[in-house]
Amino acid sequence: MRNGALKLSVFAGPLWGTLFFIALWPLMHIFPPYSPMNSAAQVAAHVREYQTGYLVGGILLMTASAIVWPFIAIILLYLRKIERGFPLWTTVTALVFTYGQVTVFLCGLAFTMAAFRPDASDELIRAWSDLGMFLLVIPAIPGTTQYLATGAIILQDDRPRPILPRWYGYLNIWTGILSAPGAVVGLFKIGPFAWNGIAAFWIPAVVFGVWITATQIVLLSAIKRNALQDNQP
Amino acid sequence: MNGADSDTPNLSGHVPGEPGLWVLIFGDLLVFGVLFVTYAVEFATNGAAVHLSQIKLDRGLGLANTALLLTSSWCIAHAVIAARKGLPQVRRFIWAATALGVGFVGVKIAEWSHHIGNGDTLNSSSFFTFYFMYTGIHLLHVLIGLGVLTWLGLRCAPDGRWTGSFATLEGSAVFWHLVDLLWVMIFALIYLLR
Repeated sequence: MRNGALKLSVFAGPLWGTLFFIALWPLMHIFPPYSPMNSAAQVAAHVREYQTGYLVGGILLMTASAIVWPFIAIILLYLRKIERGFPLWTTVTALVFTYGQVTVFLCGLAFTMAAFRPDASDELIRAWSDLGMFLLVIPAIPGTTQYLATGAIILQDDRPRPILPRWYGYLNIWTGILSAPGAVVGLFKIGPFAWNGIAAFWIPAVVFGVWITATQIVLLSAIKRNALQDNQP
Repeated sequence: MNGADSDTPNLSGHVPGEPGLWVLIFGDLLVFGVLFVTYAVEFATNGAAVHLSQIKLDRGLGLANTALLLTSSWCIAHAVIAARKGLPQVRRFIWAATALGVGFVGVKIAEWSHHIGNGDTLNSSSFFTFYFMYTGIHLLHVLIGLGVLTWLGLRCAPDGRWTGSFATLEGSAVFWHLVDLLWVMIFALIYLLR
């Protein structure tokens, strides 16, 4: 395969991120997220006010989950290249990536449901919107497994010149550990571990931003030096 | 790739472990810094309420855990020294560090059970949210560290020497010291500062 196609695949990552951000911020106005303490009437009023934004944003989220695959595939190609013998951890990473994107799809669907019938009761609208918020933040749970597995594969690489740089392996472990607090948002409606809190939302969001930026840089530089054709012992 | 694997390490200008590891170490310290500031803000704005919950903590258990982790860190540092000298005590020091780390987990479980038994759970007060979550995130680090230590112990040569990559041993020790450092910060902030 030509390097051009590989490079193009990398840009599916930022495209995914852009669609995600457009959906959450200018369309749904849930970046930063509303407080879980908001009443049903407040949440329903918000959804009704931005009804079209929610519906279009839902489409963008579902689309994002469908177009990210070239980006994921290229990460997996490199992991497969690194892991010798049976590609156990590459397979684990691939499976967890897959179900992580299912949650993105369902997140778009939940927000679509919240906005689809604005004449529905406030409680019903809030319930669907709550589900959307959970699906936005809770995928930190599968994410932790995915990042730790990716980090473990990269650090296993014993080639004199590693296929992917070792700092990027450590960065994945860092991302995995710090995404984990997103798991607990169901327990809190206020404070740093609620879905709009510093530990459950802002830290994982910033860490994820660092991860996706670093991933693009690392992949582009690996493509540039033909790391997939590398035949070091 | 790095000079630490040679038999006579030149320690001037030497980066412990490997340079990439410090992405994880400094990244973690940075985020814990944010978490500590978050707690400090809560402490400064809601001091009276924090105090009511905080006095329920057992400082003795916190101190015991500090001693366990500090000793464990001392053991892993001596494992690194023994490996550097090619001595057979490496494995013994690694298992001692692991056992002390397991002791830390045991004390933590006893401490948590005590608070939960008294009705102080994650959602009981903002202080207990901070307490359980911060010690929980730290415990996640301890468990990952124990996994790494166990893996190191199993990779020692049959006579207890370290024959693998020196950077791997040293890098793992650096992570274990980070776990220790974070605990000392948590102990000072959550248990001692009143």
